Amino acid sequence: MTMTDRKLDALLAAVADVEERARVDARSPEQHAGARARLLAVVSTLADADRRAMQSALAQPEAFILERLNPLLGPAVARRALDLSGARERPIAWPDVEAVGASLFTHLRPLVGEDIAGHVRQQLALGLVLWRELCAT
Amino acid sequence: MRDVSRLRLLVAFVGLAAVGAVSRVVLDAGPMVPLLVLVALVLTATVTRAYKPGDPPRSAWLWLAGATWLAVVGETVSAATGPGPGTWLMALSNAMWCASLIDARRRIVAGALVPPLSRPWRWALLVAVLVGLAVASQVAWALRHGSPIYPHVTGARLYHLGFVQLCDAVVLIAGVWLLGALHPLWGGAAARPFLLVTAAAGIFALSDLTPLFVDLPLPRVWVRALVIAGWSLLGVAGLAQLELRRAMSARTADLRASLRALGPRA
Repeated sequence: MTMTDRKLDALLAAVADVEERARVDARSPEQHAGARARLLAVVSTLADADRRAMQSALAQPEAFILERLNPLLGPAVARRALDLSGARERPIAWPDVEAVGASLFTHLRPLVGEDIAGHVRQQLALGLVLWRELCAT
Repeated sequence: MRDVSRLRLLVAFVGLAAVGAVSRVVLDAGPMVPLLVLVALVLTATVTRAYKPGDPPRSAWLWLAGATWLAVVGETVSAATGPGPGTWLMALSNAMWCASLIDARRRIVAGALVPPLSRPWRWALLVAVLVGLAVASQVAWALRHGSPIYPHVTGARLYHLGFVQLCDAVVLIAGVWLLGALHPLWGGAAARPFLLVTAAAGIFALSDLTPLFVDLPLPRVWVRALVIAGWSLLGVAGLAQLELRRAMSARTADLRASLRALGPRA
């Protein structure tokens, strides 16, 4: 199972959906947490092998980010984008990923517009949520 | 997904070029209008659907959409009244193309994502600037003494010819500059629409180099084919930008569908 597998991507998209709706609707933290808990219950239904594969895929945040950026920017500029967003100073850890996403959004917007840049930022936020649920504990 | 996109874009190019070619054969006057209208509609859709107001790259597409609608009007006026005002509208459209290329490069490098021009591209840009200056000096000379290549062209037509040649020089400089800026991005889908725009501009500039085609069989057919290919490629550039956004939206929709297949949620 890779990071582009349908199941994992489906979960990423669903978590993104929950996060975005919560932000747009300005829901209370309790409502937000409830929605996310229902979603993550789906994660728990995955087979152990799938869970291990997801955990393995989430082990390297840089690889996760580059997998999102390479098809859009090509390998050279994807690497440069990551370096500009903080990877040059030190290896990116998952807790840094939200800030990296915000920085990438700023760099990507002049090239691809708000929609696509926002999509990349959203996917990184989802990766962070999944990492917290699957790997951090 | 990328291969499917490429196939779709290739089919779109062939379709647009076929509209242009068939119109050339069928219509007595204004044969480019059907193709131009299609391309203008595609570019308008690109401006309104692929970007949000305030997105930096949007203005480059606005210039292109404006240039194409102006070409629709120019071609229609030319068909109705003969060469004259329509010719100058087409020249203005040409200038808007130049503005689009310049604007696209300026916006793309604004985010610091694109590295500075590499040494080979700096040399290429220098050569383009020198060629552009040579063209400008030749135009200035021709306006005073007449064109050595087109001795029968005089008066307003001479000014029009000079204007077109200056626009081609700007396209060369701006195109090389834009290509150099995009070069590190060539492996990514984000660069594709702008590469297609630059290719289309290059084809138009090439079509203006009439002496190149004089010795070929059917020289006018070559020039017309290049013009049709240029407009078709511009339409495909707009479609490529729409396709990039559509592909990501479709992927998200696909993911949501597969999530539903996983089981009940919220």
